[in-house]
Amino acid sequence: MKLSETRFTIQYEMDVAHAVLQTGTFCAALGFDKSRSQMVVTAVSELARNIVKFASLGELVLRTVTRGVSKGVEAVADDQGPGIEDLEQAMQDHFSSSGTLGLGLPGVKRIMDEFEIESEPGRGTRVTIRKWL
Amino acid sequence: MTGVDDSSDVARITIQPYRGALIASIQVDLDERVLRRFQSDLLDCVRSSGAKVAIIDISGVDVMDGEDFKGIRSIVAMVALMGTETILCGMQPGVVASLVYLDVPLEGLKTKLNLDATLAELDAFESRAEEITQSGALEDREVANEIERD
Repeated sequence: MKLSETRFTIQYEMDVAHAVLQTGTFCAALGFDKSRSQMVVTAVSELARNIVKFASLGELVLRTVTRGVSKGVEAVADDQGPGIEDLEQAMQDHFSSSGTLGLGLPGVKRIMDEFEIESEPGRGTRVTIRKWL
Repeated sequence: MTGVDDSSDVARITIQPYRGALIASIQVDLDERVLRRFQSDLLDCVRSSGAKVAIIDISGVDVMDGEDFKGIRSIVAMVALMGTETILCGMQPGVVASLVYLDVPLEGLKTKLNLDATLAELDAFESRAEEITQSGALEDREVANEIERD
């Protein structure tokens, strides 16, 4: 069940900053403590930056989700960019080995409780992440 | 250096000299422009002050993603190339957890819990340096070695 929802267009670096700020407020309002809220915000920042860097235009949706008695936050980063050719590779990619930032997706997955990704080359990428209170 | 944004809307990070060290206290949200400006300001300060240690207090930073961290790391590496050590202090728990989960490279970074702990180490560093200088005048072989190690 969706309780509330906020959408952000992501195109420029300043859109990332705005979405990041709002994510923090959203998580705090939902009842996340500061540290866990910071983690969600960092994950959202990574996803939003990927949109700016690789897709040039996309959207971020923040919503409250409930499952049974659990309540949490869900963020969906959606773009119509080039998509990811090799998802398996993208999910193994990490900072230290490549020396570059890669997409940071494994890190985002570790930060969050749930992580789903759909991507089709030429069509775009959608990443859904959730963290429960 | 290219691409330094001198426009006044870029938040500036204050850098203050303190007993032979520099203290930069980051109280603003990081982004590429803020970091580039900080890089330029800090390197200038290191050069003009001749500080042995640059302390970057990041206790006011709520969010540091991989890209921000990479920017900070580059600045630390540049300061190191000039011969000055950097200590990062005051990293918040949520920031720490995120960076470890992101698996960013952490090796070679000197960090401290907070500014107090950093300044305490600065005191110890100073008094040790004094001791070594004094006994070094006696041409004590062991002490001379210690200076070399330092």
